[in-house]
Amino acid sequence: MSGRITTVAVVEVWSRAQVLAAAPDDASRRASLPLTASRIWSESGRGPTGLLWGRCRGSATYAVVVEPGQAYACSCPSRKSPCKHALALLLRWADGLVGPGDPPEWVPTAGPARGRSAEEERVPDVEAATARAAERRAKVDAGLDELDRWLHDQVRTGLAAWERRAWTHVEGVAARMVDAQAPGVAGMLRGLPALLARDAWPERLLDALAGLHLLVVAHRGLDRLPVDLAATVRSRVGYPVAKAGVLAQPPVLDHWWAVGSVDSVDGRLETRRVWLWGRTTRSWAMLLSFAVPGAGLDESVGVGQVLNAAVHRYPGGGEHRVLLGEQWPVDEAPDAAGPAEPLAAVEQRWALQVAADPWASRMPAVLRAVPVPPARPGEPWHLADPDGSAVRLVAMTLEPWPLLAASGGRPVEVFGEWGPAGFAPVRLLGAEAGTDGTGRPRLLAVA
Amino acid sequence: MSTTVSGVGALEVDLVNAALLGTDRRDVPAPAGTDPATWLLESAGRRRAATLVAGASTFLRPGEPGPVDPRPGPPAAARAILDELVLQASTSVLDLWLREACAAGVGLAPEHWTPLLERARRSTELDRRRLGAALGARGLWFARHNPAWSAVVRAAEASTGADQGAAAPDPDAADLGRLAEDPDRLLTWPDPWSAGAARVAVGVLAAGIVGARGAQAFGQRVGARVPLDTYAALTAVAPSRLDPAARASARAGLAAAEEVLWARWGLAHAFDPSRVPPERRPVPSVPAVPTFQERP
Repeated sequence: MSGRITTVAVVEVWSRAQVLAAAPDDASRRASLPLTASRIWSESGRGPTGLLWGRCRGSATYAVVVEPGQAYACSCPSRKSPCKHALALLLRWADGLVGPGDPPEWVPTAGPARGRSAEEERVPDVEAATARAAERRAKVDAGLDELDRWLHDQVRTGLAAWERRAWTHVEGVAARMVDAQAPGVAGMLRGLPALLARDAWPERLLDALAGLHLLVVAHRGLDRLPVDLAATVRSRVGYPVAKAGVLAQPPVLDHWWAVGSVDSVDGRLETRRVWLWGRTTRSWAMLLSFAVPGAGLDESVGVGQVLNAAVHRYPGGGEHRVLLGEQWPVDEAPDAAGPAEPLAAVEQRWALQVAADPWASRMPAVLRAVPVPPARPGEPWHLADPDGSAVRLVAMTLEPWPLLAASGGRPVEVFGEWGPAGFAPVRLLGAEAGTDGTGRPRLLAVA
Repeated sequence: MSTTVSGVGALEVDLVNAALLGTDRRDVPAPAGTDPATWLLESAGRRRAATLVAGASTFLRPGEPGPVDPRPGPPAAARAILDELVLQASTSVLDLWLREACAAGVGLAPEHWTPLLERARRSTELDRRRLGAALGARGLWFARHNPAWSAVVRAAEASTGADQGAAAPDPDAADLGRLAEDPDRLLTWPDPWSAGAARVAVGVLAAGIVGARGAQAFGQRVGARVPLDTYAALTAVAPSRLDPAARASARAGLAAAEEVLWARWGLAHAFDPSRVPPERRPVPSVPAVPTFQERP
C-alpha cells in the first residue's frame, strides 16, 4: 500500500472530446467505446495525483495504469499508446465513473512505466513493426477471402432474399470483418441494409457487392498497386493510419476557407466533416472529427473561418482528409474568387475522384446552377446549368424549397457533397445568401 | 437515366435480374471454366464503374426564372423579428408584421417564403391575401412550384392588388348611429382605416358597449386596424363615467387595443428607424375598485 501523499496535484478531469483527441487513430477511438461498460471493469480507481488504474476484461483481462497526458501502460499486446483499454479507462474517468481510492498492489507506485509513453512510441522498432504488419496482413487476407466467398454466395442464391431479412444477412459477416481487422469493410457491409429503402435497390445492392468484390481483388494485389491506390485500398479496408505518420507528410501551406461542415451519425460515433478550400492551391481538404453522441463535436474550426495554415494529407489518391499543422495569423482578406464550378467541371472532377478511389462516396463541390423542383411531387430535385447539364439532388428530410426561393430561378452558388447517388446540398454561398447585417455572409441552410 | 443505349440497357437488366434470382437458377453467359458467380460480380463491377461516374447526371433545362420584385427587402431589424415570429405558434403578430411590411412598401425576404407558406397551408388564421401582397409576383412565382401550396396561392392571388388601396372614407353620420347598436360592423370597414374611422372606433371601445366577454378580441382587432398615430388618443380616453360592467368592458377593449398598437409601433420602428414610438402608456385592464364617492 502506498503511503499517504499530502500534496494534491490538481488534475483537471478531461472531457470525452479530449480523451478521443488523445487517441492514436480512428480505429482505437472506435474500439475504445464498447469497452467503457462498467461490467467489464474491476479494481478501478484514481489516486490523488491523477493516476488511474483498472482491470479490463476483454478477450483476456488486462491491467491498465494511466497518467492522463503523460504515460499509458496496459498489459495488452497492442503497441498503440494509448491503447483502446487505456482510452476506455480515460473515457470512464471523463464520465465520472472512476472513484477515488488506494491503488492495488499490482499498480506500480511510480505510475506507469515511461517506456510506453506517447513520445517514445514514435521511435519505431522496425523489425517488430514489420512482423506486426505481416501478421495483420495475413489476418485481413484470410478475412477478405471469407468475405469473397460470402459475396459469391449472395449472387449465387439470389439477392431477392435480402428484401425480407437484410440485417441478418449482414451482421454476422460484418462482425467477422471486425475480427479480421478490416473495420472499413465492416462499415461498408453495415451500410448495405439502408440501400433497400431506396428506389431500384437491386441495382444499388449489386453495385455495392461488386464494389466489395473489387476491394477484395485489389487487396489481393496490394503489393503490385501504385502507391496511392494501395494506400486508398488500405484505408478503405480499415488499416489504421498513425497521426504521427500523417504529420510527417510534407505540409501544404495555404489560406484555407472553411466552406461548409457536415455532421453525420456513423454507428456509435458522430462525425463532423469540415471542408476547407485552399485558395492558392485551389484544392479541397477535409478535417474529420469524432464524438460520442451527446458529447459535442469539435468546434475549433467554424464555417466561414479562414485559416492560414499548413495541412498534412492522409495517404491515398483522392483522399481529402488532412490534419492541421502549424498555423499563422491570417494577414489578407479572403479572396472573392471562390471554388464555384460549372456542372460539367464537377462531373469531370468526380470521374477523376472515382478513378483515384473506386470506393469514393463523396467529394466537395460548389456548384453554380439553377435549382429545379420536381415536375411531380415525390420525384427528385435537380441542379441544372442553363445549358441543360443537370445533377440529381440526394433526397433530404426537408425539400430544398429555400434553395429555389433564394435563386428565383437563376443560378446560385451551392456548396455540398457530390456522390454516386447525386449532390447533397449543404448551404448557399455568394450574394444570394445576403449578409447578416454585420457584413458577414448569412449561413443559409438549403432546406 | 432514361436514355441508355439499348444494348447496355439490356445487359443491365440481365445482370440485376440474374443477381436477384441467383446464378444457381438463372444462366449467365460466363465463359467455360469461369464460376458464374465470379463472372456476375465482375461484370457488375464494370457496370458499377459507369453508374458510379455518371449515375446522378442527367439532362434537364431549367424553366423560366421568376419575375423581378422591384420592392426593397425588409431591413435587418424587421427580418430578425420575423425570424423569431416564424418559430412561434401564434400567427397574430405574424399578421401584424405582414401588415407593416405592406404599409412600408417592402416585400418578404426569400428565406421567409417557405416558412410562411407552410404556416398559411396549415392554418387559415394567417391572412392569405396579405401574405400574397407581401410575397409579390416573385414570391407567388415561387409558391406556384409546390402543389401543396396551391390553395394558399389561389387565395393569395385572388386579391393581389385589390383592397390594398387608400384608407377607407370617413363613416357618415348614419353609419355612426348604427354602430352604437352593432359595433361589429366596424370590423367590416375596408382596411386600413382613416383617422375618422379610428376616432369612431376608439369611441366605441371607450363607451364599453361591446359585451365584456368579446371586448378583448374586439380591442385587438381595432388595435390592428387604426393608424399608428391613434396611440395618444387611445391611451388618453378615461372611461370613468360608466357603470362597472361597461367600464370593465371599456378597459379590457382599450388595453387590448393599446397592446396591439404598441406591438405595431415596435414593428414600424423596425421597418423605419425614423419612426420612433411614443412613450408607452399601458391601459390597466383590471377595473379599479370603485371608490366610496363613486358608489351610488
